[in-house]
Amino acid sequence: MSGTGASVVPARPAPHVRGAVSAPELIWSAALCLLPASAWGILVFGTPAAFVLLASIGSALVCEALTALLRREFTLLDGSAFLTGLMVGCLLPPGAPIHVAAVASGFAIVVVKQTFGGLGRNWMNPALAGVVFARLSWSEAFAVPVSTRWSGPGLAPLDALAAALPGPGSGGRGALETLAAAGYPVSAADGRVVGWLNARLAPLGVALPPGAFDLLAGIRPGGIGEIAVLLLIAGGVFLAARRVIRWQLPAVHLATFALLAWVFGGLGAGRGFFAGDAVFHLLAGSLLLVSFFMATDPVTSPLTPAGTIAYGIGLGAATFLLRFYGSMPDGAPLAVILMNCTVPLIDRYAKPVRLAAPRGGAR
Amino acid sequence: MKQGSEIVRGLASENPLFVLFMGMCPALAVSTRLLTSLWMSLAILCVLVASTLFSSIVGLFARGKGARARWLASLFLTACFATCADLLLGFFAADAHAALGLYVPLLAVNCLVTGRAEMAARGQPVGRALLAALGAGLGLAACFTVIAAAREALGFGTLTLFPVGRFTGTLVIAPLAASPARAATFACGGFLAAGYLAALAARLLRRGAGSGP
Repeated sequence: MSGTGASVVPARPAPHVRGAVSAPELIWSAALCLLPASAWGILVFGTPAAFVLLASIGSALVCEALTALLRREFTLLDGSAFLTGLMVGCLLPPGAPIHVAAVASGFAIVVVKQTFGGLGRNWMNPALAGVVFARLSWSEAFAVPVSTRWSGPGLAPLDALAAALPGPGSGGRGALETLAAAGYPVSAADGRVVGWLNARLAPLGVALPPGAFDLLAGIRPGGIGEIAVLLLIAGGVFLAARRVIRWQLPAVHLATFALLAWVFGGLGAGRGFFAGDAVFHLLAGSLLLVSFFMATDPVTSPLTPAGTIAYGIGLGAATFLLRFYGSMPDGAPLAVILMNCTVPLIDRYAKPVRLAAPRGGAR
Repeated sequence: MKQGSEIVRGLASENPLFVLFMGMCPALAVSTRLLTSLWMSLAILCVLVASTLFSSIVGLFARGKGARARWLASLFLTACFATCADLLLGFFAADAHAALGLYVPLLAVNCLVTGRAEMAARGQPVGRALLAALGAGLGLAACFTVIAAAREALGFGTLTLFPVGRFTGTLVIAPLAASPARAATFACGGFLAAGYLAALAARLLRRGAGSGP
């Protein structure tokens, strides 16, 4: 016992004040907010999507039960395994083979989460690590062309995202025009809505590209849970309002990404600065899903407000670089995994203000 | 008993890879095929033993002449043996030599080889130094074999061995070969395999010691 009177020194700068809300409540409410977007994915893609979700969730639950049994615990009711399985399924395309979904979930639970001690001790988001592992291992499973209920077979989800990137061949067009020129299908509803809007907007000299309505309504090839952007935004806003997630993190993440995409995103197409298609890139890919539901994982994100801002800026920059210049399309999952590794460092430097100096003036 | 324990230490309690984390670079880079990693193990073992033996002789002559002369002579000899190993491998096993690339010449500056050679040159008894080098080399070979078997089975769905008679030398694990987890053959797969095996080794060693933290 030293003279300071404190005998127990916390090993890490964890939050020590406990609120009235328990961890399982937070986890289940996050899962609940993700369910509408998943349901929309099943509606748009049909039964294959349901099988992928069932496989990923089932595998996550079984792996969690077995690994927790080794520690003589039962942890299925805290919802963490269900949420991880749901997230993995949401990030996978509907054409993914069942065993890929199951292994991605199993990798997430067994290797990324339980190896490091279970819920609260992992330093990387399990669902994203599982999906990236699957994408590295079975890239062909992600290259299956996908058709939606209302639009015909197009490109594979990730190929579409890569094709929409401003390249030398895009001839100064925007992302959606590039896709339309590549023969990318749009739904009948999109043709009607965009045509009607363009007729009204014609006097202003503004024209929406084909596919704009599909992108907003969530009728496009993509991960099962990532296409319903409006439902994802609604879920994210609900979680932020309930204080399950900190609104600052997705706000800074998305703002940084949009700014960089707008300023530098047009360079590849030869359109110069301030000509990037920021709106398309915000809505396309898995960015919104990842930003609202996975980057905000309290276990793998910084603890303090200042750290959260720094983390969000880093996330936005990493997402921009990986999506526009990386070898794997999308970029958002990889950016979060990359930034997860910096969280211990951020937590070390972004310390909360100490209200009282420790007695004895140590340190 | 005493001499046997030097070899056992290299295999277990002072295992270069799983306990001391030495030799990680070749372990991660070249342990994606079983046969390749066997050749690499052989190369390391030979360079390690030869370099230790000759460093002991260097130690006899360099006594009292300062450390720099000893280091220079020792490094020169190690580089010679690494070059020999590289040339011999290129002659006898051209495929493995091509797959191993720069990692055999790089043995000249491998920290495990350098460390063992320095121990010998400082005047460790020749017999003990040789046994310790043998133990370290065998320990590393065991690690390489286990890691490579795990990574090749998961990442390619095969196990490559020597062709003998009608056996082509490659075992195909049917369900894995149809859809292998290619990430196992990347650097991340090497880190994962090494990490899990190091954890397993730590657990076994702790149990073997009877007590521990």
